[in-house]
Amino acid sequence: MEPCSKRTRGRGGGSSGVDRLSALPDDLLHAILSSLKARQVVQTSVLSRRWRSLWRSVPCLDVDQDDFRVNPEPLTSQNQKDLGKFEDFVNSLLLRRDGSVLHTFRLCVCESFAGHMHAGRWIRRALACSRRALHVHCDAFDDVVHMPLDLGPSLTRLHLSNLSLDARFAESVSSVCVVLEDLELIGCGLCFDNITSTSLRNLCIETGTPDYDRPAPRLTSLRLLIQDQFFQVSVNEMPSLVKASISYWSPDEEAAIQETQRKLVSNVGNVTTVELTDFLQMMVPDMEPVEFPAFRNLRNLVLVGCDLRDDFQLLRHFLQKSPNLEELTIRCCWLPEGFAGDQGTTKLKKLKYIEIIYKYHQGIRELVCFLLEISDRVPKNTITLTKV
Amino acid sequence: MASAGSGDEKAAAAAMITLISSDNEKFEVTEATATLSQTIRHMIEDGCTDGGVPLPNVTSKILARVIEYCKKHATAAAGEEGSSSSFSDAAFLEVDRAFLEELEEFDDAFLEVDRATLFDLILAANYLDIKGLLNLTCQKVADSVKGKTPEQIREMYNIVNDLTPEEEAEIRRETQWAFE
Repeated sequence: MEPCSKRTRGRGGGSSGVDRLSALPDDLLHAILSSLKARQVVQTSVLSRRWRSLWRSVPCLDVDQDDFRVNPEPLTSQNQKDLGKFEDFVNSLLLRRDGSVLHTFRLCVCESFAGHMHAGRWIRRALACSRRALHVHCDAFDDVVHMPLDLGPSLTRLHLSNLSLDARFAESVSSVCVVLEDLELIGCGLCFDNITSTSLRNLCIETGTPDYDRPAPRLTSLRLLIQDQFFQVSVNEMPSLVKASISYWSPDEEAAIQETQRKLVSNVGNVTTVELTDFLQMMVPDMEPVEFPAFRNLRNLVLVGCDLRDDFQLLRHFLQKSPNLEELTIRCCWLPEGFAGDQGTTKLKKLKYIEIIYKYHQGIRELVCFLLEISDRVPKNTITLTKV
Repeated sequence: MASAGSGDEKAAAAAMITLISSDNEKFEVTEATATLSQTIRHMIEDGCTDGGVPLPNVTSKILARVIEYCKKHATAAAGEEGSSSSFSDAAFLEVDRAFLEELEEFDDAFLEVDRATLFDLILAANYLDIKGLLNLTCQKVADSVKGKTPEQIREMYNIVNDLTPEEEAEIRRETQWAFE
């Protein structure tokens, strides 16, 4: 939503003199305050008695160092002073809360190493204010913020972005956070090579900057968006995971990327939903044929921007291994120009909904023919086509 | 959505619900429109909507606006999911995603109301539990005060400063770290 600079029509007229804003209940005023930067939220304390303490219980804090920067230039003694004010502000803001639960802590530190050191402390304090669930978004000017985190055993949901996390963090997730169900790490530096949990239902890991304009995934559990970084996730050691969403890209040679992509897919045998993004062709003549494990639980398969120009061989192989598939979504994938027809005998009896989202008509007819064939023209099967 | 499900949905969409405003005006809306309100959805689930749903907290003027919002957004939800028709060999159905942009334009235009109406809409959205409308209207208020000084906000929303000068000075001292 863009800031509203336009004057609201009818200003001054109609509701003359009545203070409708202060008359709103606390939770609505909190909802309004949650959209403001934390500095302004605290400043509302002088509006009137009604507002005096509201800021102490706002569930969502948006702390932005930019609000304290008079001088946009690199670090000087003048900026040091701004930095001091900023530190004071965040310290006081977190210390003077009234004990209300904090849901979201957005922290934007623009510059200076010192700010980063404090960031870790502030985030630990925010965690202490949140008890069960916390969303920490950290925008750092130059690098991810490195910090050790103490995670409590009652945490159920934790979303972190742009933080550098070490092996101790991964260990806490495995051994301390025994009821943690939902973990999202976006743009974090991951200084550990393995993460396991028996309680996690949703795990989303994204590193690097996604350069692909894609809609937010509906619901993801294991979400790997990995660029140029080796990271091993022991998915099969996470029995409660239900969904996996995987995107892998690196500047390596195509064959190496294909190899890793194949491994990642082979590793998610027990989940019910798989979403693959930007996968290369899996079936190429000079590579060993792909052999996926059986996806017995798979109900929902989503392919986004994948290369299916191998005459749908990958898709067919995937479908053959997924006898219980119910929904298939193919979004903006690369399609072969010609397709001779399917000679396979696979019939997916349970498939009932296919969604195809495409930019160009090319190959769509072939894809539909292939899908009609493979879904055995089940009468209850619906195919939706959407052009974007 | 399976075609069997779509059939049920069509039946549901055709079902009409009567909403009764505080000033006793009756509005007939489809169930799909009405159930954007979680409050009404629960009433329908509990089967207590026969003879109409009285909404003693909402005037006809505001209810008409709320229904306008719900109608538009219910169509949007149907446009996203229900635009599918069963595939019959060569018929390609195209849905224009520009509709989402249209929806944003609708929201912008919808918010062009006076302050009193905006607050009535917030309270109605809260009472009827319509998340989208509540977010939209609260955001509008937040945007209007963004970057404003306390004095400007007081003037804008007719907030009477009932703090004594001593009290205000004390609060400013306590929260000095936010004013510097």
